[in-house]
Amino acid sequence: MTWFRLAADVFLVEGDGADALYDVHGGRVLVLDEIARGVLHHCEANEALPAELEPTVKAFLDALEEAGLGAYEDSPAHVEKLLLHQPTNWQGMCMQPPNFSRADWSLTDRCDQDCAHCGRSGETLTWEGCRTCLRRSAEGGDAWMPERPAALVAEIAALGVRTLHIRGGNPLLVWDALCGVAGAAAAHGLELVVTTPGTGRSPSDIVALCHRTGAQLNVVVPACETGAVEKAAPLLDALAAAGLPGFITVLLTPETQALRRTLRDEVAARWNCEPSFAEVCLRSEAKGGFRLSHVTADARAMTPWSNAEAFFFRRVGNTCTYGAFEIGADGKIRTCIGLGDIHGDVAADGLRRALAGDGLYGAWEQNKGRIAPCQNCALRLACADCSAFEVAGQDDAAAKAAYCPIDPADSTLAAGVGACGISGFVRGVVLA
Amino acid sequence: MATKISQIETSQVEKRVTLRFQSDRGRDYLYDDVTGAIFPWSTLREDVLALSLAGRLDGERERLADVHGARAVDGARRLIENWRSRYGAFARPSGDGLDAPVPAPDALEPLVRARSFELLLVLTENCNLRCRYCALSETYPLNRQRTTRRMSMETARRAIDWYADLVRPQMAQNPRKRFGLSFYGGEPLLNMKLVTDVLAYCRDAYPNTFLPVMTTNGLLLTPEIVETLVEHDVMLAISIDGPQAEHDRLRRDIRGHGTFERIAANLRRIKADHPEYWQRQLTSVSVYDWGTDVEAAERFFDENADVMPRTVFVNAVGAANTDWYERYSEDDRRRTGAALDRLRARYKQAKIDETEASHYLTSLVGIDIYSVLLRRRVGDNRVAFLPYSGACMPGDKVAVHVDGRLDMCERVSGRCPIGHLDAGGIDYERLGEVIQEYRDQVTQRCDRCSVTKHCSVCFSHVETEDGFRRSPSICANTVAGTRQRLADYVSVLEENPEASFQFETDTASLEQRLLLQY
Repeated sequence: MTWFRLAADVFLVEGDGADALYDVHGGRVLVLDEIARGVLHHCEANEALPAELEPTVKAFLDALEEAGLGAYEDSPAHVEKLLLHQPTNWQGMCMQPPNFSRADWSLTDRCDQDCAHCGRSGETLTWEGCRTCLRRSAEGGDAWMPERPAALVAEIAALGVRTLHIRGGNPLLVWDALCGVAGAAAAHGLELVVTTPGTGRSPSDIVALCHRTGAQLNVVVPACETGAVEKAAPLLDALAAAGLPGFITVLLTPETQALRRTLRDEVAARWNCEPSFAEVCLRSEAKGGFRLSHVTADARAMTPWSNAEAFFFRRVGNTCTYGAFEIGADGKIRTCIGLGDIHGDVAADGLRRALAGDGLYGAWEQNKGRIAPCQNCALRLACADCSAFEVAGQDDAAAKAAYCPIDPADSTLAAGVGACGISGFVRGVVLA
Repeated sequence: MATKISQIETSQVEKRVTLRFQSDRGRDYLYDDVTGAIFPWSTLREDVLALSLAGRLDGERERLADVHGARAVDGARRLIENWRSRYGAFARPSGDGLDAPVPAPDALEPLVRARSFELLLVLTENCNLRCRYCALSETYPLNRQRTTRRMSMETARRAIDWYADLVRPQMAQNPRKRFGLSFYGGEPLLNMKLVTDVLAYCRDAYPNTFLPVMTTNGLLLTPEIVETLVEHDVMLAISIDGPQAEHDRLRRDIRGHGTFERIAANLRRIKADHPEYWQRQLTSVSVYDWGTDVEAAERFFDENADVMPRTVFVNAVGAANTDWYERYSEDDRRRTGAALDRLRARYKQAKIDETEASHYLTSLVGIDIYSVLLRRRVGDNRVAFLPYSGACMPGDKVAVHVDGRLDMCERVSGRCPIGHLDAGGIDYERLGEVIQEYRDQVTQRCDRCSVTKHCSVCFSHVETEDGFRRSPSICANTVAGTRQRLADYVSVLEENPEASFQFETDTASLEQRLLLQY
């Protein structure tokens, strides 16, 4: 009798309709049809292979063996999965320090623009909203500000945070506060990114601030507004002339997503810069069949892992928010602008106590294996899109179609992988 | 032929660090200590690995193929070469000068500040019991002995202030972190006034900073004392060895009377008065030797789980630096060994059948299997200058004695202090010397060991009158124990690939399913 076991760094991931085989070292995903799925489940249950194998099944197992993805055994065997990179979760007195990497701080809710979707967090869905100046509330009131902003920056730095991301509204409208925070960030060696629509302050002042503190500008171009590029152009021209590094983020809406390519080309031509894209829409539009442009344009949701650690991380952590927290304009701690759960109150309790609860850290571990419908999808470890986390737990189940073309219950996915626009590291195995 | 090929010497630069073992079914496996991986093994794979490490595989391939078939040989070669090239498996560089040097004192200090997790206060060197195997008795002549000295509040306050300053960087970096504050003795409840004062001081001066823990014999758990412990949510580890006859055999008071009934009465009252506290914060710790009926002890804790707190540790009476076991015969040793084998078999069957195993059984036998789960991974962080054995880095824990002297933990004899509160705390120059001596005397040859990830040897195990010394038997026992627990582990998972090993203590949680299921 013969047995066949998958290799230690090959994982069989179950989905509702189809299963997928993840070759961690090779960076490949094989979506299995019903026959391949059945065979591998039989093998992984440590059951002997039938004496007579179907030729297609035999060829499949031989191919796996030749690719180093499995091996024939002469008796039942325990093949332990790769244990590298999977640390123990120490608790209590042995708890390891969290890997804080980025803090977003909304210095103000004020803005001098009047974008249609901004400040309507109860009515809108955003994708990669953290890259933009979208606010939760459009009331425009003054934000919470600690008595000693520099002391808060020092506390943030002591956590091990590497990047401080200043957001708004438009933080250029609270110039003195921005300069104070930027100076403190520079003193503590923090990388500082300021996200702004780029209006409300002279480009020369902004360039001087960047020179003084090392701040990098992320200039948001709200494509929902007529002439948005031209509004941001003076600042972008000044930054380019000063040779300062920075980012451009184009905020699309359902009405303007068709302009994606045009805007990308225009930005690239004028400022020699590949822009990022974020999107916002009304919930009602998502229910009405809206599709995110990245689903159809770049298929970037499916992203190969760069190394084994990155693969295992997808199993235990949120690939987008892990290590990040947001101090909102109300002084509350949340994970990011796209997620509404409050994890602490800096204004009331100070930063350390606000971060002493478990909520934020639980959110960091909110991976695709824990949220519906992704937990039922065999491709959940191939997908690095954060959209699912924004929609998970909300009423807008129909919104799922806006960011993901895959039906987790589709048992014919192996044959239809190409049709879903999924990139080349995911392939189908069809034995039927 | 296989045996001959397997005996090929590998190069002097790289040493093969693998261990072969068999499951209960007789299935061969190979454990690799570089990666911590376990491989189903065979004569062919052994031959291919040996030839590969000797650089002779190409020349011998045809001959192997004649015996095993070309496809099988190529499959074995792929497995071995993949693991060699991707993860550096099977052989480890060996020789002098490979380990990072022990850092200078000024570099050790920030390391200790970044790692230390527990402060132990030795509140008294006295005890109200005269347990015959006590570490503070003449049974262990190397250790500190019982005295009437006790710690003052002044010393305790200085210790707490000093430690809070030591770990301040961690507090800033890790808002959830709580540091262990362990009350130790002798019997710490003999100095209850100090316990009360320390708990109040920590609550006021360092709120939400410490996790108080106490190891006690349980005899003095009066209602008044328990009220204080409940108020401060102190976790209690209570020493109970088993049923009355077993407990009273060795755990006796000053007048030689057994203590079981009085402790059991205290436990019943705590459960009645504070059931939630009893459930959450009370645990039992047990000791056995070759005179113990371990099966009876297991039954006792299982049948009396309504009174006896859940068992979290079951340890054998220590065998180092003592003649304790000379009182027992070879028959006693064999009888205990046979009983442990039966309990091990019962535990494995419970895991295969997915039925409950008692806390005592889990602590006695299961902990060995959990240690397989917890074996160090390639990516885990041991300090580079102390890469081998299971030793903490001195300073990870700090034990403060009644007079303010600092030790690396509560288990060492006290002959090798690492500082003193009167001298400003840890003496980092001395700390470096201690680590260097341990490396020179104990871990110098560990780079060629096949079970480094399973080694629990630490400073306290290798203390002698002449300093730290490694005895050959301690390594032989580690290898034998590792082979047994690896075999137990794979034997369960061969029978039930979905078997669940839940590991949970106050300091760690790990679930086998998290590792295997995707």
